Order: sequence, then C-alpha cells, then structure tokens
Amino acid sequence: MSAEQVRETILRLLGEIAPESSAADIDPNVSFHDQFEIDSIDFLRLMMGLEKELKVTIFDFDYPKLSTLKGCEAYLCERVAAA
Amino acid sequence: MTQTIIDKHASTPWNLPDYASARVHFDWPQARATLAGLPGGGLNIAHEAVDRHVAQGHGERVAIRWLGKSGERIDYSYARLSADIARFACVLERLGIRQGDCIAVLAGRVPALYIAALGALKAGVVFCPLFSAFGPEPIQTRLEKSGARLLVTTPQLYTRKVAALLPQLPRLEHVLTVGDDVEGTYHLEALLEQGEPDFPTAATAPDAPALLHFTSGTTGAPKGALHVHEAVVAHAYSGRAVLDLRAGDVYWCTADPGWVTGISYGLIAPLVNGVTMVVDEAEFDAARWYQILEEQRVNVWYTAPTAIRMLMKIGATAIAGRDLSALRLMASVGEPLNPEGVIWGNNTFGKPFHDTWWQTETGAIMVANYGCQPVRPGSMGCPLPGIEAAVVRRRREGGLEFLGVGEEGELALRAGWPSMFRTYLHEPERYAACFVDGWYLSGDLVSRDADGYYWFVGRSDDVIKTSGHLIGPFEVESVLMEHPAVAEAGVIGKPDPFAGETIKAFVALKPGYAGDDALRKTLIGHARLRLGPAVAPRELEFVANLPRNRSGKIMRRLLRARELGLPEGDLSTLESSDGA
Repeated sequence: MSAEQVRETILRLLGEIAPESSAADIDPNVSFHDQFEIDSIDFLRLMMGLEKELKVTIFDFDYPKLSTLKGCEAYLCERVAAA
Repeated sequence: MTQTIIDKHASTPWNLPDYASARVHFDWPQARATLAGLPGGGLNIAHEAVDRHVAQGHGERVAIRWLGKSGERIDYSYARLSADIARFACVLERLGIRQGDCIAVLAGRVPALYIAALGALKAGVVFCPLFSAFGPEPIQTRLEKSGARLLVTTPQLYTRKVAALLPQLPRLEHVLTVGDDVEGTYHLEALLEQGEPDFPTAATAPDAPALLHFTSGTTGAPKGALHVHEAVVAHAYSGRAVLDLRAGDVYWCTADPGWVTGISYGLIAPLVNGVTMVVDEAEFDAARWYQILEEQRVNVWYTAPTAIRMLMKIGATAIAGRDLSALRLMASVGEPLNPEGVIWGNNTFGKPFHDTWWQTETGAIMVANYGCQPVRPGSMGCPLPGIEAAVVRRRREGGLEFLGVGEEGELALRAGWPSMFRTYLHEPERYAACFVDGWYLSGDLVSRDADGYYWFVGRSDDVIKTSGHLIGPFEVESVLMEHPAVAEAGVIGKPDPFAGETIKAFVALKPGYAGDDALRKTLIGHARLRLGPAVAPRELEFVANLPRNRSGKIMRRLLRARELGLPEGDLSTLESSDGA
C-alpha cells in the first residue's frame, strides 16, 4: 500500500468520525484534537478503524504518536511496510 | 447482579473506620464544626478551601500542581492561590460585578479556571463552569440562562465559539481572556497584576448562592441547578469519608471542571481537606496517566468508567514496573462502573475501584463504596452517613410508596443535606417537581439488597450518559431540526463498550431530500459544529418518520428498543411510526 493510500484512508475515516473536518484545511502538524476537538472516544474510533482498514496493529501506548495527520502517516506507513 | 465481594484487609486506618457506627452517630453539625466559618455566622467556600489553611500556617503546602500538555509544571501553594484568588475577587469588584451576580468560565484545565472559580466564590459571586468542548449552541443557551455578566475564556475558544454569539448575549458585559491579547476582551493576567492580594472575603451567608451547574432532563432546555456556600460542608465530609482525603495527600480527580464532578471533587473537596491536587491539562493518554500516578505519588485517585475501560483495553502489562505504592484509594464516578472494571482494578492495582453515585442536583456523593467496607462490584454502595435514602414508587394519586429489599424503584433522598441544590434557576416549577413529601426523587431506578447496598437499574427518563456526561435528547434534537433538510429527529443512548452510551440520532427528512451518505455526514458535521463532539450524535440513521404517542411526543424508548432488539412493550398509545 502506498503512502498516498494510507493518507487517503486516514482522511476518509476522519471524515466519517468528524465530517466537519475538511481535508483541505488540515494542518498536518497540529493534533486532531486541537483542530477539530476530536475527543478520546472519537480518537479511539479512529485508531480502531485504521487498524481494521489497514490491517495493522497500533499499540495503545503509541496512540499519542498518531495525534496529528503527519504522525499518523509516518507511523502507519511504517507499520504497513512491516506487515 | 453479581455476588462477588471484594474484601480488603484493613492495613490502612480509614478516615471512616466503621460505616455502621458513622451512620448512627454522624450528623451534619459535626461536619460543619470542622470548618472555620466567617465572623458573624457566615460561610464561604473559598475561605474554607484556601484562606483557612493559610491562616492555620499551611500556606507553603502545594494546593494545585498543574501539569501542562507540553510537560510544564506549575505549583500553586495555598498562600499563592490565596493571593491570586483575592486579586481575581478584586478584579470582579472593579468591573462592577456584585455579590449574587454570576460569572462563567469556558476553558480547558488551565490554572486561570481554578483561580476564577475560587475568586468568584470569595467575592460572593456565583460561579458557572462551561465545558470547553461545548459548541456555540450549548454555550449560548447556558450563558443566556445564567445571566452571566462576565466570562473568562481563552483567546482560541473566544474566537471560535463566543465572539459570534455576543450580539445575542446583551447581559454579558465583560470577557476576560487568558494568555494573548484579543480585541474586545480584557487580558486576565494584566488585570490580576493590578488586583489586591489581600482583598477581603465577602460575608456570604451559608445559604448564599455559590455554584450554578447546568444539567439536562428529557424535555426542554438545560436546567441550572443552583448550589449554596453551605454545600462545602458536604464536600468536606464526603471528601474525608468516601475519598479518604487527608491533609498533605496527593490527590488526582480526572474529571473536567466543566462538569459538576470537576468542581465538587476536582476543586472544592480536595482543597477544603488540605490536599495537594494534581491537575493535568492533557487529554486522556494511558501512558501519561500511569506516569502521573507514579511520579506524583498519587494517594487518592478519582476517575470515571470510560477512562477505566480504556485502561482495561490496554491491559495490566502497561503498569508493570511502575511504582504505584503511594496509591491508597481509587474511586469512580460518572455512570455505574461495570463489575468487570472493579475486578480488573483489583487484579491490576491490588485494590478495587470504589464506585460512587451522585448527581449535579445532589452536589456531593450520596451513595458510595467505602474503604472500610467490602466492595460489591457493580453496586453503587451504601448511603453516605447523614443521608437517608429509599427506593420508592410515585403513587398515581400522589405521595410515595416505599419499596422493600430487591424491589426496583426510584432512588429517593430525604431532602435537606447541605449540598442539595436550592433551585433550578428561573424554573421553580421544575424544581418543585423533583420533590414529593420531603424526598428528592433522583430519576434513577435502583434496587437495594438485604445488606443495604444499592444497585443501579436504569433511568426513569430519556437522558443519555455518554463518557460520564449527562446529555438531554431535546438539546440534540433541536440542533438537528435547525437543518433545513430535517423534518423531525429523535435521539437515544446506544450502549458502547467504552463510553457507556453514545448518542445515536434518528432523522426523518423533509420532502425533496434524499437520505444519502453525504447528507448523513453533513448532519453529523452540523451537529458537531453547533453542539461540540461530546454532545453531538456519533451515529445517524434516516427513517421515514418517528414513532409518537397520542400526545405527539417522540417515543425514544421505542427507538431504543428497536435499535437494541428489545421487546417493544405496550404500543397501544402509539400514533405513527415505521412499520407500526
């Protein structure tokens, strides 16, 4: 899976959970929480959705690394490549 | 109902060593006598929480240890806090805010929130917290209803959520922002610098209004439950008896101060009992939480089922190697903690979570599992000494029927405890409707076992408990109805393994609109922007129409029964619905 596909999956799932978030306006370096007020339940849904769609395991203690779009992409690309 | 009982070995002498004896011998005047009071018979929460400790020579003790998101740490000693809240009280006076007026705070867990809360109380001004993740709609409703004359907030929240509301809030005269300068607002820190650090405490009477907490019912707008300064008597005693708080303890309440727990037990009860309270600015993060418990040597931890279930997901290995030996008592509040959570706590930490039950209206813990008693996982526990509880049924002809062991009914509390709410602001009828024959009716359905433990059964109304937050369906439905495509909406709480319940909306569209995926997302996005994510539906389903009874009310219970595949019950009063 390409980095582009990983990014697309993240944005699609984010758009399901927080449809008011516009992909064009996302700052990749600012946390989803600070931009869209994603709360811990939203975030958990995002993490579990990503695990399912990308068929990877995200360790719970790594969640903070995935709090931004950039962090998500970096972590998931690495996991997908290792899978 | 589980029969499991977790017996604890009493290596620790608890503040409340013998529950049965306390039930017989405790009365509220004893708790009142532990407080200082003001000359002339007055009582002021801020004086009891902060100034009293300074006067008694404990000014150097840390009152608040604030942990910032990015790793900062600021300690506020009782002496520093006392000076800061005096400055804030002085600022209020200079801005013309008088005793009995109301101010609101809309902010995350930043020090200014705590200073403003205590400063307002010191000045005899009513403090109204607003959850920072609320959207503009709940903020506007609450600011309007509270009549708040002043708001403390952050530049970001002001710009995002408040500025556009100002034309509709004529009673809101001043906005104070924390941090950067924002046009049209005062800079809080600059004002505080000019405030007097020895500004005197207002001579508040015990029944002077102090705290305004909004809560939700099935119908109508949120209700403003008003509490008085005397509530501090119950905060002090319950903090001691249930949470086992002792002067010098390190205590961490993870609840957000935008809701009642975060004020009663995230501010007042700990400080009144002279502890060092930890405030963590960051959102839930399991690794960070365990680090805080270890590094801060937390003695008493008061948290919530949603957080406990998220910690359970990560598993026990996460605390391997952590030194949590300082931890003496763990407690939970917000919604009933499932037995698995209690047992997991016991297996993982070597001590169980003690579930507690109370409401915005009760102001303080009313039913609890105590350190000195065996814990029955899944039970709410036993009534606080000083509180008389009963299981009742409202008689059609008026009055109450008192039910016996094992019977399901509504939890009622004999009115008159110090932290009982004194009115719903501007809604005396709604307030009066909560009481029958001198008993407060909680709306929670429970049963009591032969040993006096109470067990939660469900709600008698349609309110939703999501992540510990009480949400009224009406507020959510109203916002969905604002959208031009929506003809009618009904929302329910749908069981969720982490949040307890999440909000699901059923929406019927006006002619000409197609219920497709794009519109579904648009409506969820609309609700999130207007209400904030905590209050907005996470799931939305289109239906042809909603079931209503003959008087036209949406039958949310039927929606819920269908969603969960439960028996639909008596449909004889049903007017119209899909397939009915």
